[in-house]
Amino acid sequence: MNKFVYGFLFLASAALAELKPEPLMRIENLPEKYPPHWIIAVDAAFFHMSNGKVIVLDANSDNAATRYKGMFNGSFIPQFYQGKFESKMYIIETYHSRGNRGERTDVLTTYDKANLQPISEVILPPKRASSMPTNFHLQMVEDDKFALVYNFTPAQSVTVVNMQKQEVVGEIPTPGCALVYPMAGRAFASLCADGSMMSVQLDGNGGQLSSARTEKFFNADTDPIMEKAVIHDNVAYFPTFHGRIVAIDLSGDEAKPVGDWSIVEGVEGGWRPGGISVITADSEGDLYVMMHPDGTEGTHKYPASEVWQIDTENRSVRRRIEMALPVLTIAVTRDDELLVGTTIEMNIDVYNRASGSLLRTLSDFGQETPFMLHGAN
Amino acid sequence: MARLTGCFIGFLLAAAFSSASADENRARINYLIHCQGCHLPEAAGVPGHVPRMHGFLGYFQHSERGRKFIMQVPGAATASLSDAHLAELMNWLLTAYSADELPADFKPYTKLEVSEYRPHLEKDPDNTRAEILSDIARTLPALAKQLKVDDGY
Repeated sequence: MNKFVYGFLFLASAALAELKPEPLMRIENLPEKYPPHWIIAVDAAFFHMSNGKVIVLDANSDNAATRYKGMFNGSFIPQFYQGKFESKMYIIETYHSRGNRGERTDVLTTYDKANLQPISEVILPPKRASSMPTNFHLQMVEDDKFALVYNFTPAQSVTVVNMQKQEVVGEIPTPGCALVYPMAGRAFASLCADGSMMSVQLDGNGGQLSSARTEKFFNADTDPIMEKAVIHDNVAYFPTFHGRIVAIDLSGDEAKPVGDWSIVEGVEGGWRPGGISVITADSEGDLYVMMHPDGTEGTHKYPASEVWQIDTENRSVRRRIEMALPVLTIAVTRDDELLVGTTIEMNIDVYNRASGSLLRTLSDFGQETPFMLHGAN
Repeated sequence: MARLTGCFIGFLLAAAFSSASADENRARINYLIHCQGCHLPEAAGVPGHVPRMHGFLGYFQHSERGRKFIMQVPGAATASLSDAHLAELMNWLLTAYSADELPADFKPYTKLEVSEYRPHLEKDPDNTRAEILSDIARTLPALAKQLKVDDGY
């Protein structure tokens, strides 16, 4: 009996000696400048909104374990802005003192891209618009010196934050006008219900210097413009419900409509733009518009079975890329190599942008409703 | 015979009221579509966020500036309604929800009047509203008393 026990102990200690203890608490940093195929998925956690996430992924990796790079949280539909400079990312979020009730706190949080830790917070007036994510709830102008936060109480206004001083410096009323489209200078534009656009110039302190309105350039009843847009080279391109693209020049002191054209004229099948992000662009300025067939009143959020690549110079459809599974939102990586889209199954399909072939599907990375995608800057 | 007479009387009543009730109905529907999302049913408003029109809107009719103002706030001025339908909607709101606050000489808006006011969109609604109300309150004790309780917001 004793011999047996000794024998067992001997075996156990031999096994222990062969095991090398794994180093614990090893924390690695990500590069400050993310590689070109990395993407950022903003997950609104639609079914329990206090637990939103921002997730960093390598879209070019077939290894499910290592393509997940990290995440940070964002409460009550965070609105995301990827800074112009490498090391930082930003979100605006909302907290309540009792989780889902109680005193409301809105905050603009700056995150370190390398370790995904919060660096700083600016407490905002608790009135940011709580709505589905767009790229235009939070924007910055003048090399990220001033942050602009879109408010809806439902009175509409924009909170201005000086990011160097990390303080709120003002609030600019934008009556009847929504969201924040950054202009080239120290200025922003907002899209107005009456079919015009408002431009606001800021002074050096972030106060309002002047404001102007364009003539009406769209009709919200006959062919509404979508608030989704992409800005390339200081021109904003807005799709309309019926399939036109409206271009607005944001390079001057005032937003200026510079033309519009149909991308569906002469095309069979009743194609219309739709989805969540709807439109993006590559580095050359080609547009990518999410399209669904048999469009009619009420289909403007339908997922896209095709993505149309638009040549803005010739105002023509360069090609139509078929999606293996319809997508709700798209992005192009900064080297233009990959086109990524959140599918109706809430995974991310990765396409070779040039060939249009499906390369892989990113799934099981802790996502639920990754409604917005961004190619890493 | 009795049933037929009933039918006939019903028909006469319907004919007599159809034009007036159609307008009110359209105003109600336009309120549902264009206003109620924020101002809520019964024009109740949301304290601190959305002005209450029920029992309040009529005060603005005590000054020329106030009369223009409620047609120049973004919700009214930029609504996708024709001038005629906006006039009809506002006249209905004023009489249905704020008749007690109206001046004795209240005149309904005309389409022409709306077309004149509407293009001048109010740029600073909150401050202008406060100014207009304090001006009116100087000569209208009922509003002055009301403003001590709340400003209709």
